Amino acid sequence: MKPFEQIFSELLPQLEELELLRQQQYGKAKKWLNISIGIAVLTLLVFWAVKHPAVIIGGVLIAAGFFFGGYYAASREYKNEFKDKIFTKILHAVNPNLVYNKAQYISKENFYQSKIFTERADRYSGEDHISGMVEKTQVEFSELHAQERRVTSNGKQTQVHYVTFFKGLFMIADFHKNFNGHTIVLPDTAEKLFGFLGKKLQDWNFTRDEVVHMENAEFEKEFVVYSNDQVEARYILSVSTLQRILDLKKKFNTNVYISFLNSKVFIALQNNKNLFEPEFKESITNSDYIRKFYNELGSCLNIVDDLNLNTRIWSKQN
Amino acid sequence: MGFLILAAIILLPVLILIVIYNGLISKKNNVEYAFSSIDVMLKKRRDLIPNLIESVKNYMQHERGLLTQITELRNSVMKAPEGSKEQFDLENKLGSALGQVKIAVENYPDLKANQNFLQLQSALNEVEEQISASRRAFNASVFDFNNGVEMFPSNLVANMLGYKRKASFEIPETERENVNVGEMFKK
Repeated sequence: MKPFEQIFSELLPQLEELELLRQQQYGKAKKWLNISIGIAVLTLLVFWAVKHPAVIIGGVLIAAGFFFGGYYAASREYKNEFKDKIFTKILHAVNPNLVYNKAQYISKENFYQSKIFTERADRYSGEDHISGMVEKTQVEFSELHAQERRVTSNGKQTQVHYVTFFKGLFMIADFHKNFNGHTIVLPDTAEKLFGFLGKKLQDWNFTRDEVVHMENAEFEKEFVVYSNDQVEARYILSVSTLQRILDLKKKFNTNVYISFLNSKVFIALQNNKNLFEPEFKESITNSDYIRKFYNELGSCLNIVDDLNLNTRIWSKQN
Repeated sequence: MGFLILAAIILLPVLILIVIYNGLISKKNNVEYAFSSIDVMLKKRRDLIPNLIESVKNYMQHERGLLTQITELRNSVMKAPEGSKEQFDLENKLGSALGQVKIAVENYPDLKANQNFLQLQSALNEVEEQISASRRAFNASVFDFNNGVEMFPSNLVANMLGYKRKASFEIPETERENVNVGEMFKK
């Protein structure tokens, strides 16, 4: 991994070029924004005079049209340029083996295959797909947003709304040990809330496999492990791996879900921030600002080392 | 109505008793199952030893004594009664002797380049990790069983069945540090 200062100085000419585009786009966007606001104000004035609801509806539609057609489009154009020209370069400077695709994401099949979430993903989207080899380990990750459709009814009216059950980073990596079963590590809500009783409740969770109790007390407090093979679960989750998962949780300070299946590991990290996304208003010739991308990328790629996946001292060599 | 209440009063304790009884039996069987899985893994390790000795003996001239000791230990383990304390003591000794071989390998660059040996070494690492996993699984099942034997109300049933606390495995110091040995190979 190249040091950040070197990457930044190599990128500077292109950053300056793109900065011009950003300012230009931002100026354009502000104009569109002002027009939208102007229409909104005008709508209110007309409504005040005419008092007809059609005015509000029409006005809002026109204002929104100008906003999305102008402001949003201008910002999109800049963001795409940034991802294509700058972010890809940062990525390749960090690791030349990786492939980046801004519009793609982890497939729904893979998402379901992990069995981490039992909800149905009725709305499923994502972006920023990165894949390739990190030393000896094949990895693939992207941002994901999965929502389930819920219908509520109060007798007269039925309402449909979409509830987010996962938003964040989803990673699939080759695991360094061979195994046949399925083992899953989930955040432990029951035990945190109800203590010993919660632990009992987990034993009776029929939607999952058998509970595997681990000897690391801190780990047990944070996570619950389900598996169809008690010995294999402990083979995968060695004493040091338990500690590594705990450290991963502390590092990202968020909910961590891990599933081990078909000699692969699926990792889901909940995150409400949009990763690898430039701010429209922010000047990009500022090195601290560009460092943010380098760091975000670094912490994602480091998950491979955090879980020690590059250590190949067992039978599985590649 | 009165009859129904009476039936419930009699049936409920019987039902609870059945649940507790079955719970204890399944805990006991889990312990036995976990114990046998340790044995499977230990046997897997024993099977690897002749090949390992074969592939290192030409290289490791200074460790002849250690290699002979390993072969002898393996032979006596196979003669020891299955599941006895003697067997596990010998297995522990065997484990630490194999650990010494791993460390000694560092002095033989030729050996570290030998593909056949490398494969054996990974197989051995794997089996060690599996042994440790099955021991941990055994300890967890013993923990669960002991809870059943000592906690109220299942302890009453356990007393009737004559169940006693079981001892869990002492994991030898060398195996706890297994991970560090692994780290060493990386360098």
